[in-house]
Amino acid sequence: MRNLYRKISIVIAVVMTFALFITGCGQSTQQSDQANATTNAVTSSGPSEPSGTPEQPDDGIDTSKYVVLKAYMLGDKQEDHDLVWGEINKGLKEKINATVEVNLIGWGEYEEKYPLVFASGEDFDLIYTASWAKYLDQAIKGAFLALTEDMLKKYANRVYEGVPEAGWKQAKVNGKIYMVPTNNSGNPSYAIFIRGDLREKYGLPEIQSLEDYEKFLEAVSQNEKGIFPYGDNNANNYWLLTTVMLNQPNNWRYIDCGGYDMMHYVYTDPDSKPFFRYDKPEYLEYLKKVAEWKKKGYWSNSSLTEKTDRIAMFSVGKSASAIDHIGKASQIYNDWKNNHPEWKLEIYDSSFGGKLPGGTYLGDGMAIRATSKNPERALMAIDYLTWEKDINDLVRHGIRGRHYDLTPDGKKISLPDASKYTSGYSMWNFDVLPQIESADAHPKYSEINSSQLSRKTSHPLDAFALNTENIKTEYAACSNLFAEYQAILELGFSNDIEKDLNDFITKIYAAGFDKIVKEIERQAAEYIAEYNK
Amino acid sequence: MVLPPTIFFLIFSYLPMAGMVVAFKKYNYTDGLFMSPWCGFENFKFFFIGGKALKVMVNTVAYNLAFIVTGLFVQVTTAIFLSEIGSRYFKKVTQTMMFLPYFLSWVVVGAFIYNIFNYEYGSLNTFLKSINFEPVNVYEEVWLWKYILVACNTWKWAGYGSLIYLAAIIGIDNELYESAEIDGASKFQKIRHITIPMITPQIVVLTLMAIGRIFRGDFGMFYQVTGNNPLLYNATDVIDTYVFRALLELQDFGMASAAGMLQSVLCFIFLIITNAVVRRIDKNYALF
Amino acid sequence: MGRRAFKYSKETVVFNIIAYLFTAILAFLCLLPFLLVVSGSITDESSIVLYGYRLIPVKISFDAYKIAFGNPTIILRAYAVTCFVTTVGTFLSLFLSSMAAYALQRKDFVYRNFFAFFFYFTTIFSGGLVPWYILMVKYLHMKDNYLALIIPGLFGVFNMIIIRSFMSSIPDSITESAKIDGASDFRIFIQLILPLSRPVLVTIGLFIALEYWNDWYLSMLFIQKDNMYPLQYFLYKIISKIDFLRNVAARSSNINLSKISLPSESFKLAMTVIATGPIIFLYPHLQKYFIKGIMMGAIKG
Repeated sequence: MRNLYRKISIVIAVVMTFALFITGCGQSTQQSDQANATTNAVTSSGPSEPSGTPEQPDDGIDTSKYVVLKAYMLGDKQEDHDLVWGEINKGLKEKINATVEVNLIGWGEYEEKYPLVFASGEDFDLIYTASWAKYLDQAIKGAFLALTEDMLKKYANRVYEGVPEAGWKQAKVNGKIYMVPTNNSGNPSYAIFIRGDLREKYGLPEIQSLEDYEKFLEAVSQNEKGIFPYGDNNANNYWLLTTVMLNQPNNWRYIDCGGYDMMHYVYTDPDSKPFFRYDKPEYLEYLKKVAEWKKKGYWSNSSLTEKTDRIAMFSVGKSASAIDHIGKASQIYNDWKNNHPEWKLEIYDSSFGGKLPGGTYLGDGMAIRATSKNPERALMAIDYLTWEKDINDLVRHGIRGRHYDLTPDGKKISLPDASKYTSGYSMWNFDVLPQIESADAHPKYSEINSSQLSRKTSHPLDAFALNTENIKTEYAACSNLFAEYQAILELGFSNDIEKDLNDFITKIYAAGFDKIVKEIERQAAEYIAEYNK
Repeated sequence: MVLPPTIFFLIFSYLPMAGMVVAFKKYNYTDGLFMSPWCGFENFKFFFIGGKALKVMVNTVAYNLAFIVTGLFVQVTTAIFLSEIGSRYFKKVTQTMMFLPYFLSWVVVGAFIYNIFNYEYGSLNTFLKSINFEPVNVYEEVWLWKYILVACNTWKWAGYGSLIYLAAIIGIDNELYESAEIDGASKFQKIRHITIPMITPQIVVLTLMAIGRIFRGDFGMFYQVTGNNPLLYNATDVIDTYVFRALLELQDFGMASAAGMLQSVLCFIFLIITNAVVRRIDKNYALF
Repeated sequence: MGRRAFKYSKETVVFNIIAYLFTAILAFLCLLPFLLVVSGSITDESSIVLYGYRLIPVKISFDAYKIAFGNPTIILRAYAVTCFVTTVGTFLSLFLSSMAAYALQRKDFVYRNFFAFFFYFTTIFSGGLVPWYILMVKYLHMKDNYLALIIPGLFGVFNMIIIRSFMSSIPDSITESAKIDGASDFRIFIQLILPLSRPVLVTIGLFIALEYWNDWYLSMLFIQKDNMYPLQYFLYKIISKIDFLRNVAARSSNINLSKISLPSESFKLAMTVIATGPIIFLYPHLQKYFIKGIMMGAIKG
């Protein structure tokens, strides 16, 4: 009797397994049907109803049905998040009869959770995307809805007008647009931060060139034993030094191949094709210089393991200079005002008047989920969140009088409650130009920033991103090699530079790098052709 | 009585196992797991063309074997000592202390290790300098790291593992010891002939289970303790860290699944063989 | 009788010295890093960057704890959630796992090896994160549900196998004689076997409890509502926010909000202290179950 009972339970269990398995299969086909249905629905419009705001053309959009849009953004929940979004949603409900329910994916878990949100087939409408958030990959895998010009003109006209043509061109994947980019291609350049008090101590003039900077580094290395002249390390963006010292003077810029600098192009030359930087004599020269610097102790002998942020090291005085985005200057400036008034922060344009790359409009953006049930309303929401002034102000800055206020000349001051609602989550695509200046910025920030912005060039490859579909295998194999050799070489840890560099190049070609090169060249050519149409 | 776990595993483990097929597919969101197109063994290739496959597999197995052996030795010894020690207070205090490493995440441990081995400011070099020795750059002495990693692993699991053996020792009938005492057995003899044989079932079972994971490396430990230092990749990379780095930018489910499946298959083969051997020696010691 | 009098022979003394020394050194090595954790958690962030971790802080700052306990209601709620999940999870898991383990070691259970293999197989092969996640979220609707935190941990194969191996040293005669008296399997299990397995149950119970207590991964995957966060995940979220505030690539007009001197490293250490604290106080009390001979005495009875 007992045996029979056991046998039956096993059979039941097995049958259950099959049942669930089969329904599982059915579900996915249902999903693709749904996606098709939604795309068809979008092109039809409803009965007329005037919308109300003067800029929006009377377009006959039906907003009679109240819709709750589910959105995913990146970041952690701020204290006043619900407060601010309550206000935002009040405004949205009034204007487009829809509200947005924001779900946040924290920074610490975004790598795991972000792909899961698509893979699990969850229902939602809007999601933040960006070139660095793997926009290309997700678009190809079918995550996003294709946005046609008609759709954009109809449901998000201000957005359509607001993003420059280059932005829309950049957003195209296989000829279709899958995201709404920002209208701000940002400042793709960097600044050199130094301890001005140390510069004065050694009687050095203000920094006008890379040579002057090297003199500063040398002076610190000779005279200040406890401070690193430039605290470079493997933790974050160690390639900034290479960018400033090697790429910038030669007008080279990396091609976006994921996280590895596989190939480069010359951004001031519109006909420039992708090339391989690592066997160029300039690169070898640079490696030798960098090795010299490490020997002289410009950075720690344990830099390959050091995890501390360069800016953190600089701001506590462990290093005498740093290179980073100019925006960080104000953080340090304010920190030193309180903690180290005797230190002077000096910032210099790291390009020293040279031409700068174009930048990408895909640094921030919103996309609509391919399976969204309310894509039209979602597009409208994006439009209003971006261009409806009072709503947009709430999104960007919070509540006036609680989180911020404006000085008479229109600069922004943060009020004590400001930390309860900061730009700590991915609303930056709504942070469109023109932007308000902060009243507590570093005095030189504005000048250098605008100077850098004015020297931006434009090249078709600026927003090109490599689609790794066809070369996944070789890419994975080469990833490890790049991760291993690049840091060792560019942080000066190699004992025999020529040998290691040759080893590196030989090994990546053995792992199929030539396939990658051909693929990059092919895709770049296609992209440029499409871009120039 | 075995119904609850059976149902549990059927639902939560066997059902999702169907998803292993993604290792053989070119996955995209619209088609989902089951409808995406097949691509044979494509997803496995990346592991083998980098030239590191063999080294990395050898590293994984070698490290795991070292961990098993040293762990066993330290844990069993500790358990035996703890069971023989008279002072209750001493036992309580030391046992609690030995459990502490379990709570420290590898991130924290990695930070501390860096604190010790940092060239300019680390405790080790500060000490060496104070006795007029040359500072050492530990991160460049590649050969040291196998010992460091083994030491770390043993340290982390000493308290946890010894607890199991201690519980086993406690279960041994006191009468056995008393009769041995009457026969004039020495302490060491008692341990050799009573204690160890009586906990052998546990030792074998735990070792077998460890072998079932012999191709899997503790990613957290290998990544954090070495601080992800490229100079050490060759000597300390295990399959998990190598695959992580290879797929970091790609985020490809198919390839990740393929790597996992490779490890699973290898572990499985090893385990079946070892379990069969153990079965031959004594049927009751085997896992199944 | 005569030999018994010489309890402390030379050999015993040597043995004891080795035993005490070995254990003491090991315990000390285990304690030391933890002391660093405690001291680091009350150290000012900038001195960590400048000087590294020291046993005695260069500059003391309770910022990390201030932030963690800044809103006492929230963290107390997180503790409460964790306690709830841990207690329920541990009892259920221990009971169910040991029941299965008992069945697995009964020599008269013909399929025992099949089932052992069936269970163990799941630790070697797995479909990966995505299918499991889809199952949990889409089909079982376990999002924002305490069940999602409790159920996955219910059956640890490792635990079941260890319990099984312990139970197999309980003589079969007990079960047999009870059966002759007409007791059902279930009754035998609860009234006879469980009490006899106390050491292993305490040990494994402890392991299971620790798993539940320390988990943040399940919460990250399945819990969105912030009043349902367990302790570890709650702390983890804070650290994530802090790290971001420190590193935010300054955008437009919010640049001065990023603060460099926020306690990031010290907070990570404070997290360890906050999460470990209660366990350290609990653990010594469990040790009374590790007294030798308690089991066999019962059998004689």
